[in-house]
Amino acid sequence: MSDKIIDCRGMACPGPVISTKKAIEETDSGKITIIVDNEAAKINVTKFAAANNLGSAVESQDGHYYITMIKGTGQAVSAAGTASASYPADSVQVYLITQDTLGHGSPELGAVLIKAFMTTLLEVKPAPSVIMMINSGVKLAVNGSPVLDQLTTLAGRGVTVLSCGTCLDYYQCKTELAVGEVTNMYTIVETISQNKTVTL
Amino acid sequence: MQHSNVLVGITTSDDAGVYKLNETTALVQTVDFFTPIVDDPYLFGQIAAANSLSDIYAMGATPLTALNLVAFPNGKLPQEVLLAILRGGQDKVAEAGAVIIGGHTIDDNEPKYGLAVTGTVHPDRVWTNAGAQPGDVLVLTKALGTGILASAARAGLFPRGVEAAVAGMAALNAVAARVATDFTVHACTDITGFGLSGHVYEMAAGSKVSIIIDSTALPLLPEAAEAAAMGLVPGGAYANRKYLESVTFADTVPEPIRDISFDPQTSGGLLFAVPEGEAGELIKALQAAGVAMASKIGCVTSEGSGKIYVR
Amino acid sequence: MISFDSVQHAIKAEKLLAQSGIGCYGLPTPREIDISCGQCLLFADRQQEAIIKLFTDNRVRWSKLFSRTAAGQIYMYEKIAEYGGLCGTITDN
Repeated sequence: MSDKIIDCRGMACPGPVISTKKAIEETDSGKITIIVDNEAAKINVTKFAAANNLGSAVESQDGHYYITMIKGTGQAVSAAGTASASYPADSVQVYLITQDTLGHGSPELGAVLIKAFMTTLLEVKPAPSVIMMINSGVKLAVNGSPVLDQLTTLAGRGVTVLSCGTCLDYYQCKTELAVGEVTNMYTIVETISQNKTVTL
Repeated sequence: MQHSNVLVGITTSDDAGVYKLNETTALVQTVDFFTPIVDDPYLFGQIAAANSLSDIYAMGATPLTALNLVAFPNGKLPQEVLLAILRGGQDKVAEAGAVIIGGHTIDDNEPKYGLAVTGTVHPDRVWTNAGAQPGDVLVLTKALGTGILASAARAGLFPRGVEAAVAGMAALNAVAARVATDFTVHACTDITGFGLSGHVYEMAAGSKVSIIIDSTALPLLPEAAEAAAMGLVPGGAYANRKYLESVTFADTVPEPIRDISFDPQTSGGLLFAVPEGEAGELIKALQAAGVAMASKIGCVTSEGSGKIYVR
Repeated sequence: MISFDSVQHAIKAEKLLAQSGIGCYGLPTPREIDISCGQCLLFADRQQEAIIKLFTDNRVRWSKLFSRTAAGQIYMYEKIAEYGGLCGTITDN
């Protein structure tokens, strides 16, 4: 995922719009922030984004305007898996982990099971492409997690590991994230609706 | 101090000054110059000259003589560029049936070009922008959007629209003015830097009336609305919008059209206020004479103080 | 639309508005504003003053206030105020 920041302050019009056009064309997916120093440029850049079907958010500071837009999902979700009858040809294998133990019943057993599961995941074919954690599942991706080694190994092999930001926030462990990246509900829903997903 | 021979002076915001010489002749004078809006120097000369001459036509006058006003960076640009600009101006003035009899050049960082033009008109047949009457119809002779397309040109976008804009800007308002002299013109102005809304406001405020504009009837340059939707709107359009508080829009008028209505024009068309009964014939005559974009764009509703409603 | 620093504040705020009978709609923070999933509250702009006052009186901390305009298929957001910033009189622990 790339974050582009383009300073267009001091540019005569239509400089900012030209720069925005270039940035959007050169980005497959990522966050683009354009900085301008006058209101006309701010309005023009947001119009350009809208004309290209991109939403925008504007914040002003000291008379300068910071305009942010997201192309694509704003996050890289890799496509490298096998095809399936009901999914698009390039859909991948996604695991959605909703808690930090596996199964219902004894939490003690659940903790043992999740470790076993993660270890087995290292061997399985097809290999997972994306692992997303929500609710207490995010605790598996932070410092001190019993399965941190396994997740780190998977990440090292190119598996995308994502943890829901709201959940990390709720459990107050955002600063303890040790593997993968923070994600949002948009990316989660988009990913599971476009790919084969196993939910734990 | 109002000199008694000054028929139109600086106390009104009209297109040119008019000074009565005798019972049959009044002198009309105007001046305008600016920085390049197109890359080609010859076309720049043509557009600047057409723009300067336009104010003479807007008073119902005929241009006679012109003086060149030139600023040029002598060290930084080759002489060929200057010569091409001057040739463009010269050819346009000749097309208008007038002649350049002098001028002045100064050295400057940025090239600028335009003309001071002198023309004549019968004192009783001066067109001002302050005579529009309730019931009049507004007729516009050129398509809108030159400022937006000039921005597009700088961004290298919408070449088709840019080409049409350049052709429109380089066209003289001579034919339109000549055709209109056969009709009853209550008011006339040309559309330039203040945008359509701004010049309509000047007419409404000067004539003490209210005006309604039909946004769907406005002649637009090709691709101008698309370019506006993409944010290629010059800063001047936003400045005009801020200043013109008495211009209101129906909710259905889309944003790009609003932008176009405030878009500062270069060498725009003539805007006539004529009695309702003559509007149809005027438009037919204009189109027959080659003024293809002539359109009825609105009407004067009532006495007022410059309120403009765009629907 | 109003954003929060932590989801706890968002939850508290939503409860408060529900108790006060002010309609609001919880939704994930748009990506253009913050990529990490946070919770935002959306409400009609005429409610703005009442809501800010309610938050101030009840010491509910918020982060940023945005206006939201629809444009075809997308939304355009513009920050209007920040907690402790442009809203002037808000000071809180």
